[in-house]
Amino acid sequence: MKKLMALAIAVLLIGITGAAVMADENVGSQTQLHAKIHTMGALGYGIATSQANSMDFELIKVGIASVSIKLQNETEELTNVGILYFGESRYVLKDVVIGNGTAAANIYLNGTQKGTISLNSYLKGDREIWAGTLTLDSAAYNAYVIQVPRIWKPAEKAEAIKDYCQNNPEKCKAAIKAVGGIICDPQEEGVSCADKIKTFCEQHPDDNRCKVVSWAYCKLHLEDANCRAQIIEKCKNNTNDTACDKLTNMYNKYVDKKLETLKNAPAWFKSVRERIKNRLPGEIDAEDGNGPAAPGGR
Amino acid sequence: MKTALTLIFAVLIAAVVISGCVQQAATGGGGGQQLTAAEKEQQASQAVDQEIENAIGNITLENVENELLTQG
Repeated sequence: MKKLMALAIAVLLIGITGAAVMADENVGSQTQLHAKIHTMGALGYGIATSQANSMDFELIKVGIASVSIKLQNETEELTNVGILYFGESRYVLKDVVIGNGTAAANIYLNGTQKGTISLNSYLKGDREIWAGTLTLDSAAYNAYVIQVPRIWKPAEKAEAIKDYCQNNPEKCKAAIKAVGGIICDPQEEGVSCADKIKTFCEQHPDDNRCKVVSWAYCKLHLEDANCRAQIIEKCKNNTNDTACDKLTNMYNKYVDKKLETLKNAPAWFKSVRERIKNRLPGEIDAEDGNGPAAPGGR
Repeated sequence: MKTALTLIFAVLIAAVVISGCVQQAATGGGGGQQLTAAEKEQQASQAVDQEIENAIGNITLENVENELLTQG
C-alpha cells in the first residue's frame, strides 16, 4: 500500500511540475513584447564642451526616437524616448520632442531630472551634424553630434508605408499604380489594404511599388532620420525633386539665422537654396509627397 | 486491482491540475499582462540603447575628433 501511495505522489509531482513549465511558457508567449523604432530622430556621437571651460569636454552618444511598443494582444503605442551617454554615464531622455531637424528632451538619472538637451541639425559636407546645448548637473555645455547612418529595417519601412497608406489611401493607390499593378483592392473586405501592403512590403522591400510609397512617406516626414538620409542621397544626383526643396527649407531655418553654417554645406543644398530664394511668391510648391519620381537611396 | 485504481486516480488528478494551470495562463489569470507606462518606457529605452550599440558601438574620443575635424 505504501508503495502505491509513493507512486501516486510521484505521478502527481511530475504532473504539477509539467503544468508549471507549460504555464510559464504560455505566459512568456502571451507577454511577448515587440519594441520597434518608429521614427528615429537623432542617432549619433560627438562631443560636449563646457561653455565655461573649453578644456572641460566629454564624449557623448545620443539616440532619440519614437518607439512603438506592442504586447501580443494590445494595440500599438508610441513612446518618445532617448538615451544619452555622457562619458561612461548613461542617462535616460524623457519628455522628448522630435521635430523637423530638431530634438529636445529632459535628461534623467534614476528617475531624477539632471538637465536638458536641445539640438538642431545642419548639413556639413555630406553629413548631418546636430549642434545645440546641454545642461547637466547645473553645468552648461555646447554639444556637437555626428548623425550616423543606420539601416532602415524592412519591418520599420513597412510600418511607415502602412502609415502613409492608412492616412492617404487614394494617393497610396495612385503611387503604386504609377509604377506597377495594385497590391490590393482598397474595397476588399477583411484585412485592410494598408495591412496587406505592409505585409507585402515587409517581404519585398526592394519592390518598386514599396519604394515609391516609402518615398512619398518620407516627403511628409522630415523628422525621421531615415527619410532625411534617403532624401539627401537622392538630392546629390537630382536637385529637381520637390523633396530637396522641402529638406532645404527645413535646414534653411537655421542657416538663415547663422549664415556661417552655410560654409561647407553640400553643393546640392546651396543650389536648391538659391533656387528657392529666386522663386516668385506664388511659386511655392504645393507638392504633397505623391510625385512620380523614382525613389533613391536605400 | 488496487494498484491500477490508484494509478488511474493519480493520472486523473495530474491531468486536472495541468489543464487548470494551462487554462489560467492562457486567459491571463496569472496577472502581469498589462505593461505600465514605466515598463513601456524601459522597453523603448532598451530599443534605443540597442540602436546606439548597433550603429555606434565603441567610439573613442579620437574617432570623434577625427570626424569633427574632417567635417569642419
